[in-house]
Amino acid sequence: MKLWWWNLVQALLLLLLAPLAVTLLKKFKARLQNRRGPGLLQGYRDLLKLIDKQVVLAEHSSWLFRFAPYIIFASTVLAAAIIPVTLVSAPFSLTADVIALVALLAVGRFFTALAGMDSGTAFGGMGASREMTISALAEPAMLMSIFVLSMAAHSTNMTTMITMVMNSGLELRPSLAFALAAMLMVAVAETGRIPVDNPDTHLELTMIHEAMILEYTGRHLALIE
Amino acid sequence: MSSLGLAQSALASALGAALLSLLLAAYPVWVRRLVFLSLALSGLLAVAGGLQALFTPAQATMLPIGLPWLSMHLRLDALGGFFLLTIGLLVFAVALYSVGYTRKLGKHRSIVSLTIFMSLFIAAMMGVVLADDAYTYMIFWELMSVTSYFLVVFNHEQMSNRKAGFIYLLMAQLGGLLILGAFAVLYAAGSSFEFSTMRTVELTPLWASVAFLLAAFGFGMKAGVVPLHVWLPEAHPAAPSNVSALMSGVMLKVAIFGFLRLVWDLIGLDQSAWWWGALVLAAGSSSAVSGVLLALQQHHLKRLLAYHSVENIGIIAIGMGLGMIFAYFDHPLLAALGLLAALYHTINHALFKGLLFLGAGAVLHATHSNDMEKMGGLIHRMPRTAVLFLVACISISALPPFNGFVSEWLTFQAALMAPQLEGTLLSALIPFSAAMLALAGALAATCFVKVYGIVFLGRARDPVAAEAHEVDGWMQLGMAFPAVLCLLLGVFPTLVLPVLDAVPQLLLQHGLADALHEGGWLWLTPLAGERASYAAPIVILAILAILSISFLVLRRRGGPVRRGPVWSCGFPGVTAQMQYTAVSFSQPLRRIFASVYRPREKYQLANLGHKMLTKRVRYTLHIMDLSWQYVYLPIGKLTLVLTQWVQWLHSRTLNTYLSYSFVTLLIILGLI
Repeated sequence: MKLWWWNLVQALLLLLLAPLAVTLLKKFKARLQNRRGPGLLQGYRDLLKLIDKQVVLAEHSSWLFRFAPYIIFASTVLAAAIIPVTLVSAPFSLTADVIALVALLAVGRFFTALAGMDSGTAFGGMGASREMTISALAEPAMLMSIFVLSMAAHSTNMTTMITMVMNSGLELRPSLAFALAAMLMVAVAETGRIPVDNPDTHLELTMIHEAMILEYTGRHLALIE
Repeated sequence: MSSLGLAQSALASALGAALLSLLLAAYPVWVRRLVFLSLALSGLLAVAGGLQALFTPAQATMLPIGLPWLSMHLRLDALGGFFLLTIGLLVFAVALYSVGYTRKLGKHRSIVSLTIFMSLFIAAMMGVVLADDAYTYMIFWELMSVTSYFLVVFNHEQMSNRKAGFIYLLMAQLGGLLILGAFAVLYAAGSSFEFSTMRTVELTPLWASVAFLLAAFGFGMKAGVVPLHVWLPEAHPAAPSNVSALMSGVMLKVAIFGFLRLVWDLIGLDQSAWWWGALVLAAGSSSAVSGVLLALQQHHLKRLLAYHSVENIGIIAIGMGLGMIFAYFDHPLLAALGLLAALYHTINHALFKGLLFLGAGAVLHATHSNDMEKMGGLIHRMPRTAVLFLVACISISALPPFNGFVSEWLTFQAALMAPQLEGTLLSALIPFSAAMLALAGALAATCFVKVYGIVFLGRARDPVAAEAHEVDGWMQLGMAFPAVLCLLLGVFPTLVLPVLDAVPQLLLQHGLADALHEGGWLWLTPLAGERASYAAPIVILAILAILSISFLVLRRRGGPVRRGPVWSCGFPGVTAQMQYTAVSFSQPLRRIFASVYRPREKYQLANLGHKMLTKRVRYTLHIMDLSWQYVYLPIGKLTLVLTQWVQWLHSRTLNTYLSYSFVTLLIILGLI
């Protein structure tokens, strides 16, 4: 039972640290461009500001547009709870293995894309189309690199997989190196970074992720961010 | 009542429905009510019989019908029970739906031919499942093919429907012939039509493989495995929607049943060769990917769904192929896992594909159109249908917590056991099919974002969509039933799988039994807890909990919502015409997979005297199924050449004919 609580704390910690991570990344990027960048708490300030703003819905959107941010938030938080970061034997990670984790992230994406289509603009559709295209190619690649590991570990449970890797020490397996390289490429695509997508862009035609959530405001935007 | 008794009364009430529609032909209102209600009763009886058969030992009986020395043998075992259950569930939903669906249809024309053939079709499918000798089996099989032909050409006024019906009938008959060939091989070895004899027959490896190939191609043709699938995207859109739901949801499954019965049960996997499973696996993988790729480029709703049936039959075939491979290499536990994955996907696909076709029927009913480019914003006009359709979209995209995810997850688990086949070529090939499955799943999600986004979300692109109306209660009820089952099968796989375990126990003498849920009923653990586990109830509870907490916390912040115009890049006048279309949605993938699609695109620009002053752009796109180009058209051409040659032989003078006879006589004399 104690493990369950630890797991919950870990999930909350991940949730709370996420804005910090985003800010750190922005700051690092700014330093590379010889700028000073935002303060460390900027991410939290942005979120609080968004939450207190009034929500403006797109004219012709339906209930799905209002419902989607919550489901996106829920599936992402659950995915974060499943990944054992600090605890090796997190009980939550037993409720879903890696395949289910990938699928949970896909749920979030599915609803983001639908919400983009729901706004009834060309941008929403464009973003949804591009996002789904990229994910349709990135998701199998991610699964394949996971499969390499899980076949070595004879399991798809993250706890077992991690224990296996830790126990086998620094034994060099060429297949794992390839899997890591593939995973890094996929991660770039999945998190919407250059060169696949650019989170800072202000030109609508080059956006992918931003194009889908263009019509979101207030607390809905805060949930997605 | 015994399981077989229930099954027989299900069959009888479907036949009774056919009789009723004949007797009541003069009273269309009563036809609609009574016939469909007795079909619903037949569905319920089938569900009850099928469920009971999964728990009890097999029962057999003999009906004194048919030729004097060939009476009908019926038998219901766990395998038949599972498929009877699947048929019954969907028949019940479709029967309820049809009460509402045929109301408008019946105003313009008689629906008696529809009800007669539909009842016979349902009875025939149940008969195939119950048959216990090759003779009965083939009679019901052909009855199923022929009645479904008449259903495909129900709207025979349109030329395209007659053409679709012809292709369908041609392929169904060819497939039937191959299956007959497979039975002939078994008959020749045991000289009895009864399945009980066929089971014990010992075949030489060569003849066993011949029988397997005949069965694989025969049933593959009916199930729609690539490249034998071409009738499917023609026939499904042509048939009325309630019939397409039945054809795609359960008729394809009857072909799966036939394959399991003939290859796993009658020939027996103990007589199999290693390449049998590999062939099924390869066919399944290619079907899964090419089915979904072709579906992505369809803009006719029902055609798109038909291509998705090709994909899902591929996924089922992957599960069966894995089972056959593991069984050959003597891993009965893993073989049972592969088979269970295939069976679970069978029932799941029957439910969500049935629901999708019923939903497509509701959209057609409301807008009189199947063209996705005309729709949009139906979520406002048809709120309930939209919710039910969304359930089916999530299920087919294999997203948790719905049922499609569970069966694909099980298939993945079976595929990941490939290292157990250490040292064989297959252990390297199986992960490749797992990759294909992953690609198919991700592309299916893309495709259904497109379907749902274009049809239900956004704004109406055409007046037909703007004036759509919600369908009536019967149709909503018919769609709600499979939607609820989709959720239940997704959340409680641990309660369903032990019941299905009776089938691998019958076919492999080995089930998964207790390994399935060793960690309690919450956790689904196909082999062992440390290998893989999935707790669907916890997942859905966690999602709901986070959802409601975040909703409650944020609800009152920031004041009430306001509606405002969408961002238009600074230019005024964003219209519904400017939304992304289905063609543009699938454009990136069309570029990436250009070598598969070979798209033929044409731009026509009309300008006002100068190329800069563009007045109108006309864009045409044509994508052809490659199997037409490389398999069917060459066969067609060959047939044409041969017939022309025969024609040439037949248009000679009398002297030539006499010389034919003379030469023939000489040859015969020489032979004797």
